Amino acid sequence: MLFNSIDFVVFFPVIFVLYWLLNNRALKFQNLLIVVASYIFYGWWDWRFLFLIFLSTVIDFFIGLKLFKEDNLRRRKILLWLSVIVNLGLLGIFKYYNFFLENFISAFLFFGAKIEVRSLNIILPVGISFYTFQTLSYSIDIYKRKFKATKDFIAFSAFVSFFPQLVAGPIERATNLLPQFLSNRKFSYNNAVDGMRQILWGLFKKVVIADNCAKYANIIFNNSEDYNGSTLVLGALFFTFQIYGDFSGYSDIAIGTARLFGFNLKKNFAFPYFSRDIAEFWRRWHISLSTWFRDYLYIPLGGSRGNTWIGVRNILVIFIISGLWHGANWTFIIWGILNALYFLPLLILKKNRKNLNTVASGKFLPSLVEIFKMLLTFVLTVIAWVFFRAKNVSHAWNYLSEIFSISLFEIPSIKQGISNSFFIILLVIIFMFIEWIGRVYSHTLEHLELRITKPFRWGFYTFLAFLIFFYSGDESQNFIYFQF
Amino acid sequence: MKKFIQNSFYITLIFIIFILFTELITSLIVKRKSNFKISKNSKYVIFGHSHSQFAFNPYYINNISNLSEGGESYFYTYQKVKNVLNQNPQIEIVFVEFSNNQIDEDMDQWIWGDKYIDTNYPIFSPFMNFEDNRILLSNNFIGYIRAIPNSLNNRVSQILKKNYDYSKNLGGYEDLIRNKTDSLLANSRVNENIRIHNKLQEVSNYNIKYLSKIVDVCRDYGKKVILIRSPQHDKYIGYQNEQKYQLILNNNFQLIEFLDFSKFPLKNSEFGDLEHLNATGAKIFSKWFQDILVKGVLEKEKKQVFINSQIKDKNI
Repeated sequence: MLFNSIDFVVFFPVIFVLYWLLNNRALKFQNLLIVVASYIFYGWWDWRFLFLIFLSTVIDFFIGLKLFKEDNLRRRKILLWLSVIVNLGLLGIFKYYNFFLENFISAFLFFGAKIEVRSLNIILPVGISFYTFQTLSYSIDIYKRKFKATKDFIAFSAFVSFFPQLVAGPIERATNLLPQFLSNRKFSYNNAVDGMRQILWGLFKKVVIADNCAKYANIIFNNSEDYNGSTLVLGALFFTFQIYGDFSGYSDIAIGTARLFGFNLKKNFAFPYFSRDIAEFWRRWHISLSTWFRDYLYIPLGGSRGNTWIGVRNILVIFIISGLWHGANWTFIIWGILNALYFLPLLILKKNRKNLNTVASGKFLPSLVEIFKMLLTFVLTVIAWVFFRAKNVSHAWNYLSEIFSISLFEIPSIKQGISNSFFIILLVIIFMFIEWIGRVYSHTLEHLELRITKPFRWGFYTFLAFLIFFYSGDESQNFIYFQF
Repeated sequence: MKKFIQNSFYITLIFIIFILFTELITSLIVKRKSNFKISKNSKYVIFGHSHSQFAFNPYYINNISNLSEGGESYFYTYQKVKNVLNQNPQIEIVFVEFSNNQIDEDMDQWIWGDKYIDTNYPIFSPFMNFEDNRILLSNNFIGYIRAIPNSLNNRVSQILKKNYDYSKNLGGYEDLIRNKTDSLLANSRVNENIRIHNKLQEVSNYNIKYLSKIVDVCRDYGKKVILIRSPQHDKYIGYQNEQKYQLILNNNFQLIEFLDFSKFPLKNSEFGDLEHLNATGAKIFSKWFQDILVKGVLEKEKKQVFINSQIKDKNI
């Protein structure tokens, strides 16, 4: 089920009312309702893959219990590896099997050996990369004695399958989310209103910004050979805002929805396009994944401790794996490497933790130096996004080659299909302006009640809702991150 | 909780009122300014679906506009007819395609099926009345709700661009460049499947009701309306319901003249498939149609007899 679908408009209020009606009864019933709702939510897309979530839940629940009781280090390690193998095994089969197989075949062919192995004709289950990472973190945390295993299977199932964040994150840690399933939730008016605001802004980002940018990005990327450099820049910019609106919009809706049910999910985006260097960008983009890699891969590998080369190696490893996490394609791996290359000079010069505060904090406008830094970071990000969006590496290469040619200085060609893009560009500018104003808050519209008066606030909500409605007629577009 | 539900209700109400207001205002503007004007020389217009769209090539027929559109049910044709007649007083005769498949219940899907509602509702919504909207809403609630934003988007864009020209949405003749007739005839399994499907079809009361409304609106504007059946291959499976078809024709439209060209002789190579003429077939048929117009078919007392005799002569 998509957040931006009529199905969800019906599903959500029904579950919301039932949920709070159960408030005064047993907590278990409320959690059970979440599990049932989550399975319906997921099964709406494809019920056949529900067994994968269930399998992951059952295995990690029992491994968690065993791990918690077990004192023998060797047995603990075996249990941990069992959880890792099952979770990553599922991911490997569904997501990476064909990719690695094709590359093995190509490698063997390169050396003159022809091998014949059958590829699997399977579709990628939505959200598999998200929930497997979530359950994996539970086992690892118990192994590290950071967290007690729960004996409440329903609460654990609700933690794994919690519908707002099931298919595209934020990737929650058991340490944050699971305890919330084990204690009573209370309805808070302020929390609920703020959640609604976040949902509204998330829908605006997805339906108005991302889906409209997607139209033009698709036209330009799919016919890139027909366009000059300046138009290709426009295409890359459209994709840059599409992916931000799409993914951060999803996160906002997920976090807002969870708040309506009395849960606090982790922040996943913190205005990344206002970053002053790539290190800051990665502290602000897909935070739940970056911190997952930091805690479960980068730090165990040694992090930035030890000599510089170990730090360089670790950065390369996490960025390559992060790229691969996004998809089984060389374009994602190169996207990861490119980001690592952007990051490494900062690490070597020990400047990767320089910009920890919000840009232009306490001021309305940034300084010229800050503008320059933000622009530079933004340009580097846009270049990397070309690899992320391109069909394959040669497509990305040709795309960038044309951008960095003399045709960059030509007027963008307004051909059929992209001639109406002016209004969307205007909307993106207004959108980024509002984001700039809201950058000091945890989400753009947070505490709006303290910033503008009620009539203006309600007028603003109505206008946003109108724009969402106005652009919602096109076939509902899937969220990009569903495929990951 | 109470305050939250109360405020959610109020803001939803404000939003709905705002949407309804915008719907109303934009509809009124588009309705008032819409341009359905066709060529001033067009004494004759043809409405219908793909059968007439691919059969009547106006290049070979004088003073005619073919406003047929493939996949169009009478529900949407009706919206076109009332506006075209309103803005084109030069029109004398309205030809409306009435083929066998237009009585089938499949036509209901052509009215409110997702695909058809998505395409047609945004174009014709300003001209639809309460009853038209009720039919769509009650038969495909989700499809209808989904089409509203598109329709609003379409109208706002028309207003902003000051583009009220509907000529692109009126349909028209298209060359059908294909010949699948022989292969279709050879594929007995496909034909059998269609035959079984057609056999189970009930009558589309909605489509017939809107054909009656088309007839009525033509009368209201003082235009002569003639039902026509475009040429079809004699192996066309749609003929299966001929009995029902004749019954409806005689019971519901007994006072309306009917010209049947379905038996117009053409070779397999002149059909695109069993129910559509290709460009070659359309050229032959259109030239012949022009010829019988010149011979005064429309002034004849017994038009069908004259047509049959002309077809017979052609066969010889």
